[in-house]
Amino acid sequence: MNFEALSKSSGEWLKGSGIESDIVISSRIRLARNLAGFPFPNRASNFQKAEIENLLKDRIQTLEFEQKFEYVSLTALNTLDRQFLVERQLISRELAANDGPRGVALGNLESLSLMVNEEDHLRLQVMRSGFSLESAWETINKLDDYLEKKVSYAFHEEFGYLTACPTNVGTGMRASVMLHLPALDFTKQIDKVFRALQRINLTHRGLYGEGSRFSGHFFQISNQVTLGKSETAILNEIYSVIPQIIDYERQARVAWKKDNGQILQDRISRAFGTLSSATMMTSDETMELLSYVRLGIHMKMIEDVDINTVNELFIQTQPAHLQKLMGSTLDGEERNTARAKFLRSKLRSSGSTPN
Amino acid sequence: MICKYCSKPATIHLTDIVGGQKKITNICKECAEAKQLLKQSDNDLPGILQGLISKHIGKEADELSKLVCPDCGTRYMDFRAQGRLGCPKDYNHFKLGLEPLIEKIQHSKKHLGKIPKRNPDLSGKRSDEILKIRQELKKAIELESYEEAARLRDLLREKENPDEF
Repeated sequence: MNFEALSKSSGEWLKGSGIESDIVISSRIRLARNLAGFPFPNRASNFQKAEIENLLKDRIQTLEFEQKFEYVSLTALNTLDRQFLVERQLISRELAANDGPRGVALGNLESLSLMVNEEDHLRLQVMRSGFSLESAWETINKLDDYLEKKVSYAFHEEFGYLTACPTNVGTGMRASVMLHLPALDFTKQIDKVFRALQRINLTHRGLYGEGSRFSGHFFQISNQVTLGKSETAILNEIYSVIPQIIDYERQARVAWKKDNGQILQDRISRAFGTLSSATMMTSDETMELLSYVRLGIHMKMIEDVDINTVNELFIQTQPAHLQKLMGSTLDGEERNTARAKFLRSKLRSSGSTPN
Repeated sequence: MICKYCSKPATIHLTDIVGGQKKITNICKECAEAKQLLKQSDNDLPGILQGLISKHIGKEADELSKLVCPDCGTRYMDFRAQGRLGCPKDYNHFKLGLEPLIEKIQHSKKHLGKIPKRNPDLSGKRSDEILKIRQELKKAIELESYEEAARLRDLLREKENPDEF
């Protein structure tokens, strides 16, 4: 797999296309599956993990599915490459940090990835740009059907698909939608949204999943419960609530512009100004400022900046991506200098703010 | 203090409140038993202690703390400490503790989603078999009896992919 070539694009989830893509960044579905007759990865010896890996790798690579998979063993990758895959959301932080035989099978469109020996033996993941859980479910359900012909999944009459953690048991499905909600966040209405979500058993997380910070005003909304409902019922619950959140965010944006338009304009212009002229930038500050520029573009408060460039910058300025693009490993301070230089070169060529 | 009935040393002191007045009766163990003044359980010290223990930590907790999965060796207490189960069979072996827990976190204990169309291992019978063959295979490799290992390997393949045979 050529990671250097990948680093030049934004990948599926930040493509910025698809339905409601000004607010919905991406839709993702994960299915947790385990093989009958093996201990779960946390209890398996390295010998058993290698057996699981070999079995799954073989079945996945010989699958007659619409996409071909390339298997990447995590043990063969250095820390930088692992981090790179985490940044692209192709693997979880847990898979990167685990030890022993484990890996990921990547589909050739970068929208499918199958993690082997993460918390469960197999984690199937489908990612779509924009708001399209339905199409994501169609693909992952089909892929799961193909796989189940080749392996014996651990399945229980009462509890459904068995998982290492009972919080995933049943459907084993976690569906999530990543939203960009700067206005709700800034006007502190986001907590109200979160409380309402909790009442209907939906949960929220940061950009990189469980335990990650809310960086760049990105929020992932996902189902909390995996048992006692069909997959379609769970998806419908998410489907019914997302348009309301999108609506709240749009209203908050309009009100923000109406009540504090000058302050908002200043914030967006300053964000762009800093990004295109600073000489040192941390990735946190970059996320925060890019978020305002992204908002500015969608609210037509900044001109001549290409939304695709901004979407790409969200990922290209992450530590591992930056180092791939620069072609060398860099320490923290060198990264901040390189990041600022990269941002300047990408943004200076275009962009101005209306008077 | 002597027994009210037989004048032997009294070891039991019963306190009654009658009409707001405290009345203490001192008796010996034999008379107390003969006159059935004690409930059987009051007289049984280990039993009383056991009762107190299970009242405080729960009889079920005591039972759960002894649960071990015979397949993977995970103890129920390991699961409670780490939050991760050891193998799919734990769902059967730890059902006593898991079922209420699952109901609490999932608000349900019944799967209503997708069911594997092929190879559903509903009874867990096949996974038992696979597990057993795999253990035998490991032993055969350790003992360097490669012919047996090859036979077991083929058997394992057959069990894991019933459709291909």
